Amino acid sequence: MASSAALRELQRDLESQANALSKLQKDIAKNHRVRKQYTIQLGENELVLKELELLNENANVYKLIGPVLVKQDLAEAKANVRKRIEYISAELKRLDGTLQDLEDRQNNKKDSIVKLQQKIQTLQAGKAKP
Amino acid sequence: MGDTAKGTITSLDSLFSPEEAWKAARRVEDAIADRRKELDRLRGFLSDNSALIHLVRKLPDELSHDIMVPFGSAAFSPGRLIHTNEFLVLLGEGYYADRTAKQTIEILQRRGKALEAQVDSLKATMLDLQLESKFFNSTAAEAAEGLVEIREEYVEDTPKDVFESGISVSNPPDASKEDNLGKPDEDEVHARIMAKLDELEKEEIEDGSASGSDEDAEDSFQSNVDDDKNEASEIANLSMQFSGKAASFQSDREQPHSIEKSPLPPEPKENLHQASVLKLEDSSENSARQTFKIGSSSRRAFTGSIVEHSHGLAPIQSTKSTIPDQASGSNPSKPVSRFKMQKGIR
Repeated sequence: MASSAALRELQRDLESQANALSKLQKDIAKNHRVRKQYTIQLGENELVLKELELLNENANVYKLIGPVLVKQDLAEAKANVRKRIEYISAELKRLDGTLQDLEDRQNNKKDSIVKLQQKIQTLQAGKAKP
Repeated sequence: MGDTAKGTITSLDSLFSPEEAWKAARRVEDAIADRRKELDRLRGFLSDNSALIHLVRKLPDELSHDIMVPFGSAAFSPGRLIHTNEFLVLLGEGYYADRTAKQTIEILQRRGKALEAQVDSLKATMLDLQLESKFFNSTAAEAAEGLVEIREEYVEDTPKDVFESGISVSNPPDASKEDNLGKPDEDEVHARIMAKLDELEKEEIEDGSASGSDEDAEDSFQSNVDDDKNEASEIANLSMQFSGKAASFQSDREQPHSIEKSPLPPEPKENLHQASVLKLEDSSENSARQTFKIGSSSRRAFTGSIVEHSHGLAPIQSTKSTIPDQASGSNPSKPVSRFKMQKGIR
């Protein structure tokens, strides 16, 4: 009787762990998605910066803000794009860090789940015999 | 020697079930389909881009063009396109610039180049994935038809002086013949290798200095014979060969993984097993070891290769043999080498 109670306890534990694991996996997938988006943006910004560098000083540059095109200084535009690239790079680095952390936690969870499963199996085997 | 040599025979089926291999192959094929879709998309961009370049090139030929101006989404009205040499080009991220037709074409061409680079990298990725799926398929087929793998530790005790200097031998073409005959011919193979080694050593002594190292392991009997003085350079040689092999194996097997996982640098480890298994473990978990074994045997289904490790170099060698290292015990001060034989036999 005691063993069956322990078994139930373990199974409940296992379930909660499995839930936590699936949540972690969802987080990781989300992280991947966001990172992909940022990578694309970074590429685009670098392209823009390259083109801006190629323009002459007196070229007209506009920025689309909502429905209107606002004329911008070339130097200002360049500075803005550079800042944006910096920000995106920092963001990517941060995402890398969190991804690492999430993956570590995922592996830990996996280990603990495997251990729990083994425990349950041994308990069940012990119960079946006597 | 024959009675001390022991080998293990494992059927591929028991190592790795065909269903699992099929499943893996299917997963890789899905990934390939995704990449193909992406490639089609990029190709579409590329053709759009070249069409646009064409249009921009011929627009300034005329002072004005008669066109139909879209009026909302439903209606058109006749109109005229003027200022045909002035373009407002979207650079990306909401930035626009005033450009002439010529400058616009330059921008578009740069963009086309970036797209082409993307297409190329995507193609390379797809090629890797295709290789991977081919590998999984062949593995599954081999497992299904009951291929077995025979592994033997090759330990030599007779003419020790030959080996004490560290010799690397790898003879896939030779071994391929004997592999078909199977284990009983092991003695004969060994005798032939020994004869060859003796011969090579004699040549070496006559030559004096040169340490014969044949880099091309695939189509020739490869051997390094060296006297004790040149041990250091010999060891360097050996490690180079091993790292070369490791790298080539990884490029066959590992690259597809490294696309999905983090890229793994090729490790110059002489112990191929260790290195590859370690890498595989995170990608295919419990079947990692099996995968590798099958990998080695499918790759060398009929080409057994004999690789000798200089003992000082390979302290972490995974010893499957039940035989203790007699050679090193009898002469511990010198780097003693031994043979290791891998065979895949149908």
